[in-house]
Amino acid sequence: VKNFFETPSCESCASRLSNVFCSLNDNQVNELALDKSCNIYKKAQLIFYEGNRPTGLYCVNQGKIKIFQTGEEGKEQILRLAKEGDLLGYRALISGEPYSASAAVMEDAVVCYIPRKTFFELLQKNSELSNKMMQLLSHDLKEAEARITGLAQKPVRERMAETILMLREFYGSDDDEIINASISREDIAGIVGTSTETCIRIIADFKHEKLIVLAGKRIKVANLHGLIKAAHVFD
Amino acid sequence: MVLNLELYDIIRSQKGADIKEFKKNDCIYHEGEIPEGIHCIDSGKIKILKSEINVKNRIVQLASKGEILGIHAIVNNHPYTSTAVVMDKTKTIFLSSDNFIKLVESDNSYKFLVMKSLCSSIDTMESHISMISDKQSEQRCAQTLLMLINKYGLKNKKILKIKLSLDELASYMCMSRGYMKKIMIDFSTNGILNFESGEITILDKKQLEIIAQKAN
Repeated sequence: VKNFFETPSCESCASRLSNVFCSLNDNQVNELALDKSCNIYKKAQLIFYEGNRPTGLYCVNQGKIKIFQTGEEGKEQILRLAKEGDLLGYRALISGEPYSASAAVMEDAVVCYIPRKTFFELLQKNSELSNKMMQLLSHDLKEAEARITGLAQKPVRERMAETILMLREFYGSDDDEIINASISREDIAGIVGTSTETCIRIIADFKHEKLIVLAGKRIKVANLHGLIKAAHVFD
Repeated sequence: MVLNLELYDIIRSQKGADIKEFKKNDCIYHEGEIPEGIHCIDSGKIKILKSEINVKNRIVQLASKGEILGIHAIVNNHPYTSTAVVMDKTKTIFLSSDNFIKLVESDNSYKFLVMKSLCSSIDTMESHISMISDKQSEQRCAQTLLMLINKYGLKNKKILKIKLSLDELASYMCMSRGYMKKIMIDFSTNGILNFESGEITILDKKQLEIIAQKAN
């Protein structure tokens, strides 16, 4: 059965209003709406591939996406996660380099595509949009810096606790404190930078220590204070 | 690595751009300080450090000619998130925050150049992230040495021009000092390199490349 699918309109799109495109005026929003296209992506489908040349920008309307690099033996290292409102592939587009990572869907997603030309014209026309893009990239740089120190020093257990906290903050949790994302153990291992086996073992440890409760693939944070302590996050 | 010569040239020719000179071990800026301006590296070598709990300082990036430091702190208006320390006599072109913002505001296409510069810094960081989290230690060591050769070159076609202490090298590769030393000794018994009094002599670059590429 083909699902009924309506292309989200840019004008009232909550994703647009939460990202850099909130600075567009009505005319520019119309331009964007005319030029963009929109697709549904199923779980595990790829949006773009590492090494390809970008032709445009992706704007996530809904869903959860991982951005990852593939190492030898096909092991994934997840660099970033994205959710509704996030942009994908802007760095490669701006620097004119091939994509340095691939993007794949973790939970069914609706993603809009904005052609390169439209985006660049908007950047040139709208100085507020340019400012917002500069701020976004500056923020990314700061995060990347922090990520290096995080990866380098902390033992796996701490990184694991930190990742669960990060997922909770990033995707939010529902009334029962269950994190709003069902992410496979492989993907969690990819974010932490460890093997799937270790990942499963530590999750089981956390469960025994009553720090978390498992609800299928989803994780419920039962003892937030304890988890923060396990992560050694001081800020 | 893509250099941002365009933005660099524009900043150089700006009114109010100052040349600043630094000696070895001088600190260009400290983590937590409010940024006064940006530094474009004209010559020299700089290490970017970030403090960590329980660790002295970790090198997160090595910078050389053409790179611009401090942009992200000014754009997002927050204190420096890292410390820049000079490793070798360095000359930078300094432009104050106000002048930099004025310059960027004067033309939208400059903003694009700033974005490009930020992109290339992030790319460098991310490839470093995937290196430390993905590669085996031997590979990491070989890859880091090749990166240093590429970036700073060799003296007499043999000796690495950059001098990093074993502690610094180990921190950059995210290994313990002892373990890194063991790998370096392995490399030197295999005739790949020689290390004495802080100087690393590369004897067999081909072999290094093979190790860096090797599948685990």
